[in-house]
Amino acid sequence: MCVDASGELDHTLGIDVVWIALFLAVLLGWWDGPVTCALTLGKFIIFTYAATPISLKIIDLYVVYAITTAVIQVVYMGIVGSFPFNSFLSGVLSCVGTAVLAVCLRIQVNKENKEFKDLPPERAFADFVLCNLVLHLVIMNFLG
Amino acid sequence: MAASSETKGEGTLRKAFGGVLGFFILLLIGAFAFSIRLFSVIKYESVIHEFDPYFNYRVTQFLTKNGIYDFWNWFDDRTWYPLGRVIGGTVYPGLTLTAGSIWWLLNNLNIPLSVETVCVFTAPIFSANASWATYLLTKEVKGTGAGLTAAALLAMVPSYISRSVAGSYDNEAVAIFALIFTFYLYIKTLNTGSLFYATLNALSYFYMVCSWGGYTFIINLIPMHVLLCIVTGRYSPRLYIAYAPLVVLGTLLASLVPVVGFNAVMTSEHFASFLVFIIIHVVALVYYIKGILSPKMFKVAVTLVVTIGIAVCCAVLAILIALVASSPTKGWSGRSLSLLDPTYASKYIPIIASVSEHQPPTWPSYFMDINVLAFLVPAGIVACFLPLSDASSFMVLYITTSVYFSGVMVRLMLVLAPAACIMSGIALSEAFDVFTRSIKLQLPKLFESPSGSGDIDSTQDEVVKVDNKSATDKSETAPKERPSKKNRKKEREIVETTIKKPLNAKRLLVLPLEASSVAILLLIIFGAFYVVHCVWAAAEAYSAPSIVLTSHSHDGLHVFDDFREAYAWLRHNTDVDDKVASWWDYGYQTTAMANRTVIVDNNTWNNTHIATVGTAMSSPEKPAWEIFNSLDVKYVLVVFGGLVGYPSDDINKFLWMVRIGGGVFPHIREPDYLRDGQYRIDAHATPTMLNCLMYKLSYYRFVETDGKGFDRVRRTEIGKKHFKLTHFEEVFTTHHWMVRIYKLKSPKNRIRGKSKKSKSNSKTGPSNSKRHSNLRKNPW
Repeated sequence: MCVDASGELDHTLGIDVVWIALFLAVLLGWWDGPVTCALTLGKFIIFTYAATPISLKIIDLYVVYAITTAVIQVVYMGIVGSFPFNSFLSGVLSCVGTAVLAVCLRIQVNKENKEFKDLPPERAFADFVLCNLVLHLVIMNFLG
Repeated sequence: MAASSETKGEGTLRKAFGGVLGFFILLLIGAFAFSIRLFSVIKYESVIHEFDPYFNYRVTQFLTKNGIYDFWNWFDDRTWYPLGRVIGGTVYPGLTLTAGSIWWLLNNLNIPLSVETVCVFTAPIFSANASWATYLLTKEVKGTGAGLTAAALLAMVPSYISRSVAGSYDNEAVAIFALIFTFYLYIKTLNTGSLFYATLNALSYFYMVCSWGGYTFIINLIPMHVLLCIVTGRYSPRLYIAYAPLVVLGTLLASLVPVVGFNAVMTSEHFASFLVFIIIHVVALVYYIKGILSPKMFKVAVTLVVTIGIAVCCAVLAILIALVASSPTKGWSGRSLSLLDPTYASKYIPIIASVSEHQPPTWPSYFMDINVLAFLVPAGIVACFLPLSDASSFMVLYITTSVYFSGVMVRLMLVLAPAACIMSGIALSEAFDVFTRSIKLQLPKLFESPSGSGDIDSTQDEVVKVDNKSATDKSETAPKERPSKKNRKKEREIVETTIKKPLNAKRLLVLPLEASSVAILLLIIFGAFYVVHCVWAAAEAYSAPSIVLTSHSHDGLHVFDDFREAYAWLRHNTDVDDKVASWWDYGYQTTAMANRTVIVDNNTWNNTHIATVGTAMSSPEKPAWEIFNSLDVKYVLVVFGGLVGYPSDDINKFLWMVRIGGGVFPHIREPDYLRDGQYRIDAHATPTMLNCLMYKLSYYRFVETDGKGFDRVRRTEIGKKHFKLTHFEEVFTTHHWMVRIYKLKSPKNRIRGKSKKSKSNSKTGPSNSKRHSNLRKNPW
C-alpha cells in the first residue's frame, strides 16, 4: 500500500522542518506505519502543489484567509453569543461568499481547465469583481 | 471557393431571415399571451377579482400613497382586531413593489394610469414576460425551434391563465415569470460557466423569494439536480460555478426579505441546499486532488480520507439529527409538511385542509388545465434523453417533481404548467424536425422518379443531435422549403432543420413520405384542438371575477353585484371605527372596499381568533352576542345564497366553522349539528343547528320572500321559519339577499331603583307586582 515518493524533490526549509519533526514523532513510536504513508502522501501533495503558477497560489492564499476569518467569527460567536444574528450571518456569509467566488475565479483562470480556454482572464476577473460588488452590497444592507 | 462563399452568404441570409422571423413570432406570442387574458375585462369590467387580490390591491394603494419606508414599517390596525397585523413583515413584497414601480414609472412619464388599472393589468404583462422566459429556457435546453413552440404553448396553457387573468392580482402572476427566469439563468450558467450569469441567477432568485412562498421549490430543486449530476458522473467546474455562488448569495438575499428573515438558515426547507453545498465542495476537492496526483497516490489518499471522513461525518450527522429532532415538526413549516405528507393537513391543521385550492386534483382537472400537453409530456421526457445533457436532466427532474406536487394540491398545477409546456415544446419540435426532414429528403426522389417515392430505409433508433449553430445544408439539391411551411406558427426555424452530410457517423431517422405528411397534418390538428380549448377555458371557465356574478335566464342577463352593494353600504352608513365581524373569507374585501376594521381575514395566521368567530357563529344568540361584544364588534356580515342559488354561502361553509371552533373550544361539537351524520337545515335539523346564530342570521325573515322559505341551494324548506332576533337587528340586506348585515343591539339600560324581574319577584310582595305588570317584558 505504501509507495515511495519519486521524482525530483524541491527542498524548502519549512517542509524539511515539518518532516523532521513528524519523523521524530514516528520514531518515538507514538504512531505507526500507516501514518508514515499519510506523511509521505502529504509531502507529495505539497511538492506537487509547489509547481502551480504563482497567480493561482495568490488566489488560494486569499481563500485560506477568508476561511480563517470565517472560523474566527464563528468562534467569537460561540464565546459571545449570537445576539445580532443578522450581523453574524452577514459576516460569516461574506467570508464564505468571497472564498467561493475566489474559487470560481481560480477555476476560470487555471490554464489546465480545457473548458475555459476561450475565456480571457480579464473577463473572469471582471466577473469576479462584479459578483463581489453585489455580495458586499447585500452584506452592507444586511449588516445592520 | 466562390461557390462556397456564395452558399455561405446564402446561409447567413437564411439565418438572418430566421432570426427576424423568430423575433416577430416572439412578439406575436407576447401579444397573444396578453390578449387572451383580457376576457374578464371585456365581459365584465376592469375590476380586481376574488379575495386575496383585494389585499394586494390595498397594500399597493398604501405603497403608492405613502412611499416605501412607511410600507416597510406598516402596522395595520384595521384587521385582526384587536391584534393587528405587521404588514411589512408578513407579506411577500415582490408583487406590490413591482406594480408600485410600474405605476410610479408611468406617472413620472406623465401617463396617469390609476393604481387599479396597473394592478389589473400586471398579470397579463408578466405572463407575456413568462412566455419569453420560457423561450429562453427551452432554447438553452434544446434549441430555438423548441423554444418558440414552448413559448407559444405557455402563452395559452389554461392552468397558468387561471391564476394570471386580468384582474387576478395575486403573487403567482409575477412569481411564475420569476421561476422560469431563474431556471433559465441557472441553465445558462451551467451551459456557459460564466460567473456573470451566476450573479444574475442569484438576483433573479432574490426576485422570486420576494414574490412567492413557492421559492422553496427552487432552492430544493436546484440542489437535487446538482446531486443528480454528481451522482451520474456529470460533475464539471461549470456545475460548481452554477451552484456555489447561488447558495451563498441566495441565502443572503433571501434573508433580506422580512417575511423569510432568519428562516433562510434555520428551517429545514433550506437545509438541502447547505448539505449539497458541502457535498459539492468535497467533490470539487476530490477532483482537484485527483488532477494533481498520480493514480497510485490517489488510491492511497482515498483510503486514508475515507476512514477519517466517515468518522467525522458520523459525528456531524449525529449533532444535526439531535438538533432537528428537538423541534416537534423536525424544523419544517406546516405548509411544507402538508406538501410532503398529503394527509398531514387534514389531521393537524383544519384551516389548511378547508381551503378548496389545497385539495388534491381530480383526473379531469389535469385534462382541463394542461389539455393536450398531458399526452406530449412523456414524448418530451424521452426526447430529453436523446441526448442527455445537464440541462435536459434538469428538465426531467423538474417535470417529475412538479407532477408529484401537483398531485398533492390543485393550486400547484400552476408549477406543473411551465414544465409541461417546455416538455411538449421539445417533443413537438423534435417530431416536426423528423417529419419535415423526411419530406424534404424524399421530395426530390418524388420528382425524379415518377414511379413513386423510393423509401429510404429507416435506420435504427439513432436521432440526429439538433445543433444550434450549424448552417443549412449546402449540397442539398432539393427545392426550397415550401413557403406555406414558413408561415405556420408552430413551424421550426429554417436554421434548425439541419441535415448533416453523409460523411457524419450519425445516421438519420427518415420516415416514409406519406406517413410524415399525414403525421404533420395530424399534429397541426392536435395543436388546433389545444388552441380552441385554451381560448374556451380562458373565456368561459377562468374569467369570472367572483365578486360580480351573472346568470342567463329567459329574460336576458342578470348581474348580481350584491357584494359591492353591501361593502358600499358599510362604507357610507357606518362610522369609520366600527368593527365588522364575518367569516374570514370576506376579510380582505371588507377592509379594501368597505374600509372598515375586521376581526379575521384571509391571512388566517391566528387559528384561535378564527375559532372564536367560528364559535360565535355556532352558538345561540346570547353567547354569540357576548363573544362579539367582547371583541367590540358592531356589525355582523353574513353571506346567504338561498334566494338565488349561490352555492358558496356561509351556510354551506358552516360545518368548517364548527370544526375550527370546536378545535379550540370543546363545547362546540360537530355531531350536535348533524342529524344522523347528515347536515340539514330543514325541519329534521337538530335544535342546536336551528338555534345557532348562523342559521338565524341567514334565514331571518326568509319566509317572507316566497311564503314557504324554500332554500334554492339546499333544495328544502327551512326548518324554523318564523322567529325573531333578540340580540341582533337587521340593518341591511342586499338586492338578491346575498349579503345580510346585522347590528348588535346594545344592552338594555339599567334603571335605578327598579331591579330585575326574576330576582324582585321572590323578594318584593304583591305591591310591586302591579308595577311589574305595567313594565315591558325584559328581554334579557
